Amino acid sequence: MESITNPITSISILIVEDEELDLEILATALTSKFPGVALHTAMDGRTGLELFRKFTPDIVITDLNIPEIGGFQLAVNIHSLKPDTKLIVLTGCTGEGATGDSAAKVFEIDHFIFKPVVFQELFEAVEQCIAKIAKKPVDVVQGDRQ
Amino acid sequence: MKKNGLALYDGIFHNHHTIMLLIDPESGGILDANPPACSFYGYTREKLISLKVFELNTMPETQVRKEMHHAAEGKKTRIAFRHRLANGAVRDVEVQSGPIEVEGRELLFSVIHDVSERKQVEQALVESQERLNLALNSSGMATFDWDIIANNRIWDDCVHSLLGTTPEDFTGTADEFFRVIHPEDRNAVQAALSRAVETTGVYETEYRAVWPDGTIRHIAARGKVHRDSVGRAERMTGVCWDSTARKLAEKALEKLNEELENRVTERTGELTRTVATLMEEIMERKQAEERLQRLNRLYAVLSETNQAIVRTKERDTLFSDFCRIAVEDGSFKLAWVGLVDKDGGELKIVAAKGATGYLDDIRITANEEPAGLGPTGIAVREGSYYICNDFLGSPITRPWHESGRVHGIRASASIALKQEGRVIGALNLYADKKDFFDQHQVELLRQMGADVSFALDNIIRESRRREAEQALQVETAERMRAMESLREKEQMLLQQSRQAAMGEMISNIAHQWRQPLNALGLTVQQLSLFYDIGELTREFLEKSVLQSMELIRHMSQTIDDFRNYFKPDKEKVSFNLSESIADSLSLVNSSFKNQHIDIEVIAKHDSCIYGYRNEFAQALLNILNNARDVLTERGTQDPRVTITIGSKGERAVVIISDNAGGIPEEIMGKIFDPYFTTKGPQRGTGVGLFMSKTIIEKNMGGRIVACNTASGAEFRIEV
Repeated sequence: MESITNPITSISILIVEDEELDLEILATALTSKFPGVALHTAMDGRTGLELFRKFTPDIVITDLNIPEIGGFQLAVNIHSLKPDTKLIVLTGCTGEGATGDSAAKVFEIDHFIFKPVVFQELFEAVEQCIAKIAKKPVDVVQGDRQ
Repeated sequence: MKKNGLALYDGIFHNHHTIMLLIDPESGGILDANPPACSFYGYTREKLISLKVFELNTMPETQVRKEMHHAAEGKKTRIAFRHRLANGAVRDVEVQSGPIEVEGRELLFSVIHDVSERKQVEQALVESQERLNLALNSSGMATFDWDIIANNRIWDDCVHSLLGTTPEDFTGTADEFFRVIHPEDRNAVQAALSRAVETTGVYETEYRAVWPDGTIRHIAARGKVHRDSVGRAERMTGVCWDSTARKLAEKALEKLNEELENRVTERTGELTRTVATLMEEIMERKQAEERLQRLNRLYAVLSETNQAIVRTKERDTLFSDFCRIAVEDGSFKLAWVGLVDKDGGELKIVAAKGATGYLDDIRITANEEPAGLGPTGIAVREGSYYICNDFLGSPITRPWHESGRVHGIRASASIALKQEGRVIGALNLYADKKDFFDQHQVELLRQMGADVSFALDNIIRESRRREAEQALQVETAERMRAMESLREKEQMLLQQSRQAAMGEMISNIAHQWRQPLNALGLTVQQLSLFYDIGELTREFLEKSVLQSMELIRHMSQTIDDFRNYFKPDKEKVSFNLSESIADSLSLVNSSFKNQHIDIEVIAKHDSCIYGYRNEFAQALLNILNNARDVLTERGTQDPRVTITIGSKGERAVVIISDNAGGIPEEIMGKIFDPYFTTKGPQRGTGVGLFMSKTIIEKNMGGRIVACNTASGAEFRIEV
């Protein structure tokens, strides 16, 4: 159980990306843009899931094409664990698979970002997610949701 | 003259060449002898003078004196003596003596001719004559000597025994002669005589002599005319003899002959009958020969027809050949071929030779009508043959009697013409003799009909075969065209496949570039970001630039690979299998990596392949892409693709296997089919595996098979 005093400063983000360089730059960019945000990184789906379970980040940014568990599967798992997690999906496939999977219709991804990643887009997406989180009343784990 | 008497005497006496003696008639003494006398008597003159004539003469003295006396008196001038010569030989002489007065004495002047020879000849002649007479007499021949000018005949005595005459009443006149001759024969004899005298010079005749007592003797006469110096007939000498006996003999002979002839006639009669029989036989044989000849002619026709059959390819040629052969080789008067017109039943003349005038305006059918009841009609209706051996007399040929007569047709034969068992017409032959067609001929004609029908069937078969051939050719051409179009389609397929591959490639490239592009984008943006936050150090910039260049280089490489990959293979080259696989992998590496598919290459035994390098790479690529797609689709855990390079015998073997779970049984047989895809119309073109198969099996002569392993599918390539 955690009490969140400053929603903004206690935002945590999980980035799951298998390309090292990309991960590095993304992490650098986010931390410089959102200082105070707790950043977790993983390079494959399984690790990502483990980290999620451990830290329950508010926002999960994941590449679709990741080993172990694919990005999508990861998103599904995360959602079932904590539905209000904000999900930002990075994808290199334009038009295929992203919205095509029927399972995707079950829940909505908060944001789709198409590669090549434009920082501006990413930052905006994160900001929007933060805003959404901020709007929500603080919820305790027991989980009364309004 | 007288004065010179001595000289004269000398000249005459001594120089003359005849034998002269001067004789004293009183004493008979030789007073003088000339030199011829000396040489004749063989005494010298002195010796002769000393002799008396009586010593020379063989006659007694008295006889001689008597003759001398006669001579002196001038009574007898030529006296025949026989004188003895000195050598004792006796010679016949003729003495011409005459009185001569010499110095007052009466002397006898004698000229002596030595006629010994003459005498001898005379003697011989007499003897000869005697012999002749003897011969003639003994042969009953009489001789005659007819003085033509005097018209006097001299007969020898035999004549009387021939002609029944007596010397008294038959002196040799013509009248007497002719009286003896039978009245009926007189003219003939006269004619013969005249003929001999005037022309031939030879007298030959036979006549009857009528004896006083009425008996008739047959006389044959032969004679020869002697002419004088100017050619005038002087006399005829000849013989005649009694040919009665001969005549009797002749008569007997005649009788014999008659008998003989009778017998001969009898025999001849027999012979004639035999001959007649023989003639009959000959006639039969002749007929048989004729038949044989006809048969031979027909054989010739048959043989020629068969040759024509062998040669001919066309029906019309066959028909006209048949007609020509029948007329030229078979000596038929007319030959024609008719075909039945299906609708009207009328026969149409398609070939004819010979007395074709008969066919002008003719109408022959196979229907039940007068024009169809003739030999042709019958043959056609019954499908066999019909012989009419009396064309002008048979009732069934009545409609054509007149025309037949005009064209010299006396017999006809019609043989049905069949094609494939159906009667289509008839062969018709006409001869100019009655009863021309006998059984043998008929047989031959039937044979000919059968041969011609056979030929027709052959021709049909041949034309059908040709048609079939043509149809086959057409079909083959069509097939070729179909194959062409198939090839075109294959080309198109290849093209499509290439395009599909290209699509795949582009997709691969998209994958391959996506990442570097993203990274490049981030790197570049990061520069800006760092600048904003004031951390853009030179070092950082350098690092970023290097990173970027690496990314750019990598992307550039992709282009090169892409380009290389799509360069069409112009020729076959030798290349390493492992290299080719490495090439293919490099093209799909990123997409595989993207999907986190593990690729493992096991090179058991590297080989060198001779083939189209890029095509082969493409084939592998298709399989690899397929594997990737399946793995991705099925979401296989730990997706992996294993490539094994080995060899089997002389062949290089590549095995691409995955762990995607395998190919469903029901589609196993279809996966290499063109346009077969499990991916749905939007994603799969279905050409990938088909093209791989085409490339490996057709272009490289290898083999590709797919099967399932425990974990997934396995594609085995042998080249």
